[in-house]
Amino acid sequence: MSDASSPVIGITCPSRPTKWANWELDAVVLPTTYHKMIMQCGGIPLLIPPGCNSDVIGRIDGLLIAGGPDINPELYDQNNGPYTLEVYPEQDASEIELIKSAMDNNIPLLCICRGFQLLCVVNGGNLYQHLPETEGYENHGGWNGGVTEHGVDIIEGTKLEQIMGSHANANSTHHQGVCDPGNLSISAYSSHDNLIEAVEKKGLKFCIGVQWHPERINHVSLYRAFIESARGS
Amino acid sequence: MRPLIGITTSVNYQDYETSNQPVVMLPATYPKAVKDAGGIPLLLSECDDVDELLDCLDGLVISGGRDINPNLYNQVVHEKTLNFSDEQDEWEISLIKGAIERGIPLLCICRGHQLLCVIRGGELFQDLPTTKGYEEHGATGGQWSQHVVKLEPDSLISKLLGNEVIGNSGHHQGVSDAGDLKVVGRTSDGLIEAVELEDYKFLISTQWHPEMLSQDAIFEGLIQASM
Repeated sequence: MSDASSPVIGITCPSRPTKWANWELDAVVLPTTYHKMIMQCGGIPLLIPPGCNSDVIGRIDGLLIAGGPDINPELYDQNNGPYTLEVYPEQDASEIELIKSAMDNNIPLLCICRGFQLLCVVNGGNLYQHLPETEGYENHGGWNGGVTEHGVDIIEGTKLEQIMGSHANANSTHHQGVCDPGNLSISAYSSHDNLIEAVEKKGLKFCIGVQWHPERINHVSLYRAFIESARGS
Repeated sequence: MRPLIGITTSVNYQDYETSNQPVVMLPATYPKAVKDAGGIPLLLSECDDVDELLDCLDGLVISGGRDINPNLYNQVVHEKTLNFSDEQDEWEISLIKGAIERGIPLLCICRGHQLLCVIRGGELFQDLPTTKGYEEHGATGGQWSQHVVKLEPDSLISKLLGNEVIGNSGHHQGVSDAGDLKVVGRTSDGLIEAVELEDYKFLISTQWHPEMLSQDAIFEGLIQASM
């Protein structure tokens, strides 16, 4: 892609049994907030369904791993906890392959919520399976459809700080969290309980993961920086 | 390199992460059929600039979905015509027209088949179960039935599937007039089930759902033409 054209951004999405109108079928489903934010910030969004292998990396300029279902705990060497909901091994496998391929090819990568957790797992990290029953994080925030907001403190000298400054307000709608970021650098903690809220991988053009949903809280600066990085990939 | 095949999606409201939010949706059978035939399936969502989207694609599938606004074929809205979306109509019409201008291989299914016919000057029956001669066409309301479709010899689709094929039926609207398209498939009640555009590199348009019936030859044909 030349600098003149808009960058093509691949967005991963889940597939699951879904009811709508008179139908009940396995369907690919993704909130419209992601592709709308990509368009608003100057990118061309294309949705990547589960099972799509890493051939697609050669056809996109940036990769967004979206939020979604829990990750299979086997992938981070834990047994299934009582609150870990349905897992989708096909989606896990294809998104892991995509993340690895994007990192290998230095394709700009933005990982959100589930995507952030998966980025950490791929890089050797580990997760808390249920924050409401994890000491110190019982009151982290909303989950199971509930949404709360809390501050995040962004670490000085990180790429995220260059983009967003030293403090941001984040939304929270997750019940799992990252306890170990593996070989990634931590770039933000939540202000009220110090949960890891953002990571980045040094040495790559753009590789950032955030626990919150920037597309739902109008964090345009983060999406713009991602898409600008993808321009000219 | 494997060709990149765009597939259109629909926006519906779902309890997903938060309650009653708009989500992009597509039955998983579409990307699976494209992938199994050797293409890279990527899903397209409503946007303003279809040219940018078409620049990325080697082939295009217009998928099934909701009813089309009858004003587009100069009819008033029938009581059984529900839940149409002007945004989706406008977006997919631009995509189909842009794809045809560029000669991009095109597969139109169910709603896509009906929209193609409307674009080319055709017209629809708004509710087959209450249309004389088509009362028994097939299942509607979330149910599925099957019927034989006779295909014109020498058509592109008959080269891929033979002169007779089993199609499925879950639709309540149908094509009454295919405009300037060539009708190449009908059921025994005479309904227009398949059309094509003469002298076009690759265009298949079916009222039924080949992606649900393992009609791999259609998808293999699309991928081949998109290389």
